[in-house]
Amino acid sequence: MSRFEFYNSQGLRIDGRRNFELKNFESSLTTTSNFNNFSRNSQSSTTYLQMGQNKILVNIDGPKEPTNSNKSKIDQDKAVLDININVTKFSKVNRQVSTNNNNSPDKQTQEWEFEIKRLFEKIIIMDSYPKSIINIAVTVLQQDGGILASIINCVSIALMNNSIQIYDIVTACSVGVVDQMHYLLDLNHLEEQFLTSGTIAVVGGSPTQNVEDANVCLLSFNDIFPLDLLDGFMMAGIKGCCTLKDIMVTQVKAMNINKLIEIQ
Amino acid sequence: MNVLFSKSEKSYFRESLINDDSNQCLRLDGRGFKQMRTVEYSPSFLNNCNGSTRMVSQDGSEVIVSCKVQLLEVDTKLDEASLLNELIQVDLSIPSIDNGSKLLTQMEDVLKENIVQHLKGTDKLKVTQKYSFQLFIDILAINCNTYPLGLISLATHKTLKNTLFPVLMSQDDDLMVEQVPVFHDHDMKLIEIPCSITFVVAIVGDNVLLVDPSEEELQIADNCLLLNYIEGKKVVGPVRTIQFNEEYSRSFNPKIISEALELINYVGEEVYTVL
Amino acid sequence: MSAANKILNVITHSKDIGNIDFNIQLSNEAKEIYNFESSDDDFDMTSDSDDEETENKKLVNQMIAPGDLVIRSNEYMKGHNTYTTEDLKPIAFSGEETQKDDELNIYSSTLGVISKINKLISIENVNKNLYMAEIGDHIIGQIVEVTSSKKWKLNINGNNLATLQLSSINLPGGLLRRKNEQDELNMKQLLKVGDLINCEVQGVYANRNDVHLHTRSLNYGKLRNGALIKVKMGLIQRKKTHTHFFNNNSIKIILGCNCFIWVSHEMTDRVNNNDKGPQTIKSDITRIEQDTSFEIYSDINDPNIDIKKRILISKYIIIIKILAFNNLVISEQRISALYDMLLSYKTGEGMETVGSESLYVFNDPEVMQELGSQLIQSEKMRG
Repeated sequence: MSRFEFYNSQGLRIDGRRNFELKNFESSLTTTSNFNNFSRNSQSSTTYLQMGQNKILVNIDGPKEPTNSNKSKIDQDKAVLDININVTKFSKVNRQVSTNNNNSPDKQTQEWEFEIKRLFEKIIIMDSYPKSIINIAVTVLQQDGGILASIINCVSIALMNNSIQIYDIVTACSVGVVDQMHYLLDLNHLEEQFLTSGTIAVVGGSPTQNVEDANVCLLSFNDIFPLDLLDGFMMAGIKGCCTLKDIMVTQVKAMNINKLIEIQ
Repeated sequence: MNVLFSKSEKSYFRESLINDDSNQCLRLDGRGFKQMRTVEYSPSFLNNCNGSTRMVSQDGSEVIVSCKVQLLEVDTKLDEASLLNELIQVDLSIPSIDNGSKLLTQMEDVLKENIVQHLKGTDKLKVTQKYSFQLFIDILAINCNTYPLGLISLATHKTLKNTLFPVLMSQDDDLMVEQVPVFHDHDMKLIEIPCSITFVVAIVGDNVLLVDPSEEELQIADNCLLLNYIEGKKVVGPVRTIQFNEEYSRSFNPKIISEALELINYVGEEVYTVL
Repeated sequence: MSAANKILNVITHSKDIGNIDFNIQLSNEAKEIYNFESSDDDFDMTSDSDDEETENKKLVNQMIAPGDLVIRSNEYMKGHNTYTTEDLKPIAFSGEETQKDDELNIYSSTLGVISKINKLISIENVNKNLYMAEIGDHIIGQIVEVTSSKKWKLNINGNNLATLQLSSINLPGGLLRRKNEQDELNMKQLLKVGDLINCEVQGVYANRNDVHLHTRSLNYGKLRNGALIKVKMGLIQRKKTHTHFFNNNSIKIILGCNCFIWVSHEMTDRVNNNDKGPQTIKSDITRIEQDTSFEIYSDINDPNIDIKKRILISKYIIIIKILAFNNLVISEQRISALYDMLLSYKTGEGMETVGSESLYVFNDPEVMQELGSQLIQSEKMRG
């Protein structure tokens, strides 16, 4: 097998980053339109996230109490979370055609839906919204590796933007191993294809704290993983997540600062 | 969709629009009858696609259109119509509407027809004797508060205008030779794919025609027309009617159709110059 | 061609929502191995002056993110949007297990600013998305459901539907009328799904999740002769009065606390009636009986609203939209100030404002923004 080169002569990765450099991170609220405010029957707002070449839209509707139609779903004591992930057909370089006829999401997406649902059911303070439903619709517009991590980050930001009560911020990051010794953070799709890699999500923790203080809440490996590398893998992942949390918090605060000024 | 209005609100909207003298009529948002809502637009924002557009209308509806180009080996036995049918693939998804819904299928149909009928007799998609470009147009509408076809068709039109096609490097006559077309590595070119724009026109009463109706106007309209316009040729077929409410729907005066055609001739021209 | 006559306004954004692509930062040579670097240079508070920048920084520091520790003490009580280590679910928490037993950590659960009232600590949301009801709030609700148990369910922009009981409304026939079973059957005739109700919050139970409403006053009831617009939460503040009259009392605007706003035409004769003063109390009682006839539940609008009044209503709707677009708190003063500005606003060709064509100019985002900043400036001038 021809060996794929992960570094160029200067020790940079194919997209010009260093080992532990994260992708360009940018998010915005309700994208560009301010007109959304006037629609009457929805309390939804859209959050747009760009992590490198990953482009994700998250639309949160609710929490709200459903009327007659789907009342059977609700729980008298707490909220019900509904997550829907739509990986668009044009998100990859080559257009994907779903193999099954009825356009239902593929296995991979369903698995993600399940994982993310379980994760955020514990993060959102569900008790404060009895009898209601929270609908989270994720749309992946473009993907370039580490998509699960990006989705988790974006949902996290969207929850903050929608002022839904959560215990803490979740951040996620993908990590890969090169040559059994080097760790790469935040993979792109080429790296993801050729490397042993996994996604790690962390709740709480910030760079000022020790790595041991952060709590891992989701771990997913894509393939066979040498267990002796686990320590280093976790270290790299957690550090990445903590840094990311800092960036996310500052960005979300900056996004909301205008509101603070004007509403005061 | 399905915004709930109270009965008195609806009758207020309708009373504002029903009057013998059309100068005495008023749309709730103060628009002129010919005026469309402001759209915000960002071109080519997906770099994985050959062409893409994101368009946000004033009511918050947002449409993302992507166009991907693929190479297809053509079955030479096919006649032109079924060939074009194969070459243009439109896929529309709106999260709030079921995937198999009739409404969705109808919109897809309109959009496909908009492109296919103008490609007849041209070979713009032809690469070589054996190969053709296949267009995959994927449309995603989010935050949809109203019937989005007008906005979608504007966005589709815009997307096709900025779609880039790869440039052929090998010979274009390959009937005799077995060869796969080779394309230039970076160079892309624009191919003007004609695409008509669909306008939604609401009919209220005997003399009022509203271009690009908003949700409240759809709910009080007698009937709606879908009219297509393409540059140079004026209004082209097909023309359809569609209703969105049970309360006020009724038949309309046939004379108003010709008025509508004239109106769209004017509006369409303006829209083309703006876009 | 002036903007007013344009068929279609298009706002084109530059190439991308955000410029991405590989951000190569080679210049900072030789980073240490565990030196994490986020290549994020678009985020910069690009303020004009240093003052503003420090001001912004101060505000950023005031903001608190979910999961942040608000205070560690046992003297304070937790208010809204906070939680303590005690209510923590088994998942997660950072290693604070070592804390002393008598101390309680209060954490924030939302993005906001701390507000402290005596010993109660709560976090005020920056993004208000849901309406939190308080007793006595004047709000507008929309009926979404008629239940079998003498109740209507209303959407009031909160996370749960509010309840309006049959006994909390004025029944046709006056105060002295006996209630009977027929009323329950007639519920749908009185108020249907979709109807908009002007009402007051009577009681709030179950941690703000169960809201009861009433309309037992002539000021409240079904809304007619106008249109509703909804603005983002947080733009309307609680005041003494939420019903305002404009333009010689011909326009009535109700600013509901739940950010539903009703703009309608007000018949002038009724306003005069209300001005009569206290000496006509007796005749008022008979008036109540008349007013509480079926008429107050009818769906038919006043036929006397002419085009001029309709234009006025649309104009006030646009004014509210402009305020909301600029994220400005909506108040009576601002609405009238903006109305004056609209009157003097020149659309370039000196348009007549009666023709509906020129109204739409104000729906143009650029114009909206311009008017908003003008308003803020004029407010600053006045102080």
